[in-house]
Amino acid sequence: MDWDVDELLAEPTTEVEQDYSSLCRQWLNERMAPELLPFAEDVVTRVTERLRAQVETLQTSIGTANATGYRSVLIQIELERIKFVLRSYLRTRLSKIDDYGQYIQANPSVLLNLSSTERQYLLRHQQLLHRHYMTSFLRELPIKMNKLDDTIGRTSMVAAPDMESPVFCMVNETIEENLRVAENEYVTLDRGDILLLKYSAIANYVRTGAVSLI
Amino acid sequence: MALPRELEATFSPEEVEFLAGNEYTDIVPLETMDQLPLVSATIPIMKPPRKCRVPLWLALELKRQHRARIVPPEWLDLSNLQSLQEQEMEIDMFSKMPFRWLETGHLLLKACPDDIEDVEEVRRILLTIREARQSKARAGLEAVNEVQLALDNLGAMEINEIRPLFRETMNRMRKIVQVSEEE
Repeated sequence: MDWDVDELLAEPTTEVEQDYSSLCRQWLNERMAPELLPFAEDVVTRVTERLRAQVETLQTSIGTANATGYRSVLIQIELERIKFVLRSYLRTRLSKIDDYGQYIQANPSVLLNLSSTERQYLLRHQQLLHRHYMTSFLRELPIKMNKLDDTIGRTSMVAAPDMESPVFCMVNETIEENLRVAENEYVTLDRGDILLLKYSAIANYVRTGAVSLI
Repeated sequence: MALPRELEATFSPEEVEFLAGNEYTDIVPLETMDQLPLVSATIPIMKPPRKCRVPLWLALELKRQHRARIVPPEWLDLSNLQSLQEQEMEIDMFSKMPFRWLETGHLLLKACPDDIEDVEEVRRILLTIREARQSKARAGLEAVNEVQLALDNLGAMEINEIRPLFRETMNRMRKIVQVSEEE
């Protein structure tokens, strides 16, 4: 009885529906992934544009006949839903940028995953933080001890995302080779499977969309 | 701070319900309505008594306003649920429930009990299935190792419930294994 998996993983048909579905999936992935994923620039831009257009339509229609009053309510409900997903998506990313600011700055490949607005935010936030720490107490410490990115010893001062963190995921497309999860342990990845694994094992598949986090 | 601490590890039940609201469902409109272009979809023209396929959130809203009746999904039918219940009781694994069965069932039972046949029996069966699966999930905790766990057929809400505990358990096992390997 495969009807459910197919229904669940069925791609929506129109571009509008695809974008929304894609946005929701990006939101889920971003929430559950320990690292910062590439910014879904295209989808977010298109959805934001449609949001803006819809708000305009709403405002112009407010003057007209009351018969459409109920339709406006439905439109507004949907707007709130879309804004909720968008806001949560952006907030999740901001939260990760806050936590791993130094790590991101030190890794140009990760920096690429940020949108330009996020990059500006990161820079200014880190500058503010650094200045604050400096003036609060770092200045008082001897020069050799006032670094914020000390890596001497076993632990680094820079907080990096825990890539081995376990995540729940669903397989969207059957993958040929079995996935290596440990020394001698492999798992099969068949469409519809739900697994709890360490994130690093499926990080690449999440990016391609073969696997999504749930 | 950008994201509240409680939401860092898992989703809130409301968010899981929100996602269930995106699923499409059939309704029977009670009033005509022109095509409605939305940001996430274009809602087709509604002409009673012809059925119409809309997102669940919209169906629930229309039902609330007495502008439509909701057609329960195929799986939410008494005989189907009865066989699912039997399956659930027989096997150790999780039986094949629709991915969003718990939250969708809950939303529909709350919003449109009058559109569901034998609704009380359906409610009872869903509860039984829920309890059976919950105890299986609890037993499944023993199977958690530091590497992987297969949880086929588990529902979205159920996963969300066990997520913090299972993740933390796996984390700790990982650390234990790590330390023991270093020795």
